[in-house]
Parts: sequence; structure tokens; C-alpha cells
Amino acid sequence: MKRFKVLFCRALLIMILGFGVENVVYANSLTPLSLIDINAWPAVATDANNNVTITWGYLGLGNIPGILAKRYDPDGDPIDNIGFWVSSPFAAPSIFNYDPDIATDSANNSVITWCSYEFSSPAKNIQIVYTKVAPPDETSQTDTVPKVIAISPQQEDDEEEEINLLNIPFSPVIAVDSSDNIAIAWTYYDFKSGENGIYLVVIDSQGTAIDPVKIVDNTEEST
Amino acid sequence: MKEGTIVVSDSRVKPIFYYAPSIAFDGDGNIVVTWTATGMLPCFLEDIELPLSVIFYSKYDTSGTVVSGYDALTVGTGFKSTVAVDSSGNMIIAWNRFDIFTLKVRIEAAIYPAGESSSKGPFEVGVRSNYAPSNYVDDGSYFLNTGIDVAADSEGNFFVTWGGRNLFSSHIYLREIYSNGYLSNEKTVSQGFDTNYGPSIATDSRGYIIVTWNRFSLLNLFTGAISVYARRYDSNLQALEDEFKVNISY
Repeated sequence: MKRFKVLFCRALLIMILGFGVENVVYANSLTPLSLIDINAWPAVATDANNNVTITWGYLGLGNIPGILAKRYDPDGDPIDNIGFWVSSPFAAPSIFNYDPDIATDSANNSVITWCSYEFSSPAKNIQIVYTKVAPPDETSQTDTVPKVIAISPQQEDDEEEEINLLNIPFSPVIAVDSSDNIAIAWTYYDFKSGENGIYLVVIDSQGTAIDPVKIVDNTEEST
Repeated sequence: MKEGTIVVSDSRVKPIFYYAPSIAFDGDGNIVVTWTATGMLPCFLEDIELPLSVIFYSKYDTSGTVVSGYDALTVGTGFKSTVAVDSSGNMIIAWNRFDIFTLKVRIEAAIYPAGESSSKGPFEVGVRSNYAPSNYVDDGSYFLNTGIDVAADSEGNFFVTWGGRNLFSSHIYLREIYSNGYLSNEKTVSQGFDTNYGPSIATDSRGYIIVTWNRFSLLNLFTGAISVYARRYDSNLQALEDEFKVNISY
């Protein structure tokens, strides 16, 4: 019964947030219907071909808070007429997303990380996620949303586990080396316990992530 | 329990807040992370804790193991650091400092030559042997100089951008730190009279620079009250065009 209530609340929330969004949102064809837009946390990266990708967080009336991106060619002309979704659109499980950062790998993919709360199990808390957006010449006609991968510590995969939105990650930052290792660090704060610190995770070129390393925290025994 | 699950029980928390990480790979393939610690921290005398705000950086290998320990960059009033490494492995860390004499939030920076070997640390705050206060990066014209971002080009130059604010002025600024350590003149990136903040910067292989930032404007209430703008510069710090809006009006 308890789980049913949770699922019902989630469904209600996503319906409210998603009202007004087109049923299918394709990359390069974003047409949200909001009047008042908030476009925040911009971050920029360039690739080896001098293309530019700018990503930012988006919140508009009738839209799920998401992550957008827009690409420019080396002459500064926009490749995408308008922004495209980097985070999951309405039909996919993510219901709010914020605070992106971006880097570029050796294949000119834009590697973007941000904070996300997913609709689907087993995520019970806000996660740090990342995805890769292929370079412009390979995706200009693509209408799919890139795969999003969560890399922050997960809570127990237990159906009885409560949703915990009091443990908040924020300020994720990303770097990629010449071997395509991805390093992501972020801050977390638990409003319930007061615990706070910074995590680091490294994902190798095959996509295998090490366990997140807590590089500093404010608990007594960590000194 | 899944791998990576962190369980902390029966723990007490210290009155310290760690935040604002920034990350880069150095010339040796190690990961540099810099962050801010604000709260009750040890001062010069180890046994005494005072309310301070201190910048740290540390290096890790790709397995997450520390390869060099904490290095405190500022004493007392520093916050919000950011790091970049050039193709030769030279590293810049820039950060904010509250200047208690002028009551301004200024920008400081330190450049670390490639291959500089850090000790295994941790270093104690304020007693780092080669610590010397940085010259300010901003020219002091604004009370708040915040939201710093840094980038490097292939020539060993570094670029610093930030939001500078006075009572009636709020713009994005850009400055180059040449490889010889000298500073360029301050460039005003944003145009118009709106509130500009939160810049991000990148360079390309030609040495071109792009800065993107947030703008709040009531004039754009129905087309994006908070919008993203950008502007490009060439390698001589000459603007390639006027600023442009990144997000369209929906």
C-alpha cells in the first residue's frame, strides 16, 4: 500500500510537471510551450574540430526541469536551430534535472554531467548522471535522447526503502583526459544528518566506473 | 546492498561545509580537484579553530587514490576556486577572496609549473613553505567579482572570466594571464544594462575563446527572463561579434 502511494504520487507529479509538453520530444525539434523560461547554469566546451557545445538547465511553465544543449560550428553559426534535450524528455523516467557541466572526449563527444531525479526504480534519491552527445556530423539528424548513466552512490535496492530527497547532490564538475577517462566530482549535503562532503568518481574509456570516492567530508571520524 | 553505498551511522558532523569543487586532469594524467572548506577550521596554531574559509586542492590517480595531499591555498577568506591545466601541464587555480580592507570580493590566482612535485601532505593551513599571496586578477573596480571560470590555450596562456558587480552595474569580464605571468587589460564581455552572472569559458585549437553566461532581464520576461548568452573572442582577445542569445525565445 505504501509503495502504491509512492508510485501514485510520482505519477501525479510527472503529470503536473509534464503538462503542456509534447508527447514526443526529438533532438533538434524542441518546442516547449512555456511563456516564462529560466535558463540557468550554462557551461561550454569545444571539440578538436572547433565546434562549440553550450549546455544549460531549463525550467519553463509546463515543462519538466531538464538539461538542454546547443551546438555551434567553428564560425559561430548554430548547428541546432534551438536547444535539444540532453536529459530525458517527458516520455522517459527523469523528472527533474539541474546544474550541468560539460567536457569533450577524443572522439569529439560532448560529455555532460548533471544532477537528476529519476522516476524509475531503483533510484530513491537525486543522482549524479552523465551522458555523451555525439559530434554534430553524426547526430544532426538523430532524434533520440542519449543514454543517461547514474554514477553517484545508490541507496539500497530495497522496495521498502524510503525515497530520500533530503540528501542533495549539487555542483557536479567534469574533466576528460586524452585516454577518455572521465572524472566527475560533486558536493553533497544531507539535510537530515548535516553530513556534507565531496565525491569523486572516475569512469574509464569502456564506461566502467570506480566506486565513488569520498574525498572529504565533515564527519568526526573522517579526520 | 549495492556497491558504492555509503552508510554513515552514529557519526557527528563538524561545523564545516565543503563545496564548490572544480576538476581537471594534469600533465601526468592525475586528477586535480580543488574545493572550499568554510567553517571552524584550524588556524596558525593547530589547537585553535576559528571561522575561516579556505581553498584546498588535491591530486588523485584514476583509481581515486590520493597522489598528493591537501594544499591550502588561502588563509581565512578564500572561496569558490576553479582549476584548469594547459597542454604543457601548467596549472592555474583561481579563487575568490573577501578583502577585509576594502570590503570587496576579489579574485586571486596561482599558477603551478608542470612537473612541480607536491609533497605527500597534508599541508597545514597557512604554513605552506612557498605560499605567497597572489596579485589580484580583477582590477578592483567592482565590489563583487564572483562566478570565476578559467581556461587555457595551446600557447600556455590562461583566461579568467567572472561576473563583476557594483550597485548599478553587473557585467561579465575577461582577462588573459599570459604565459609570462603578465595580465591583459580587462575586457567587458556582456553588453547592455542587464544583470549578468555565472560565466563559463572554453578555448579551441585556434586560440579562440567563447564565454557563455546567465542574464536576468525583465525586458525578456516572456522570452526567457533568465537567459543564456555567449560571445566569442579571437586569440588576440578581440571580440569576433556582439553577444548573442543561446536559448531562443519559445
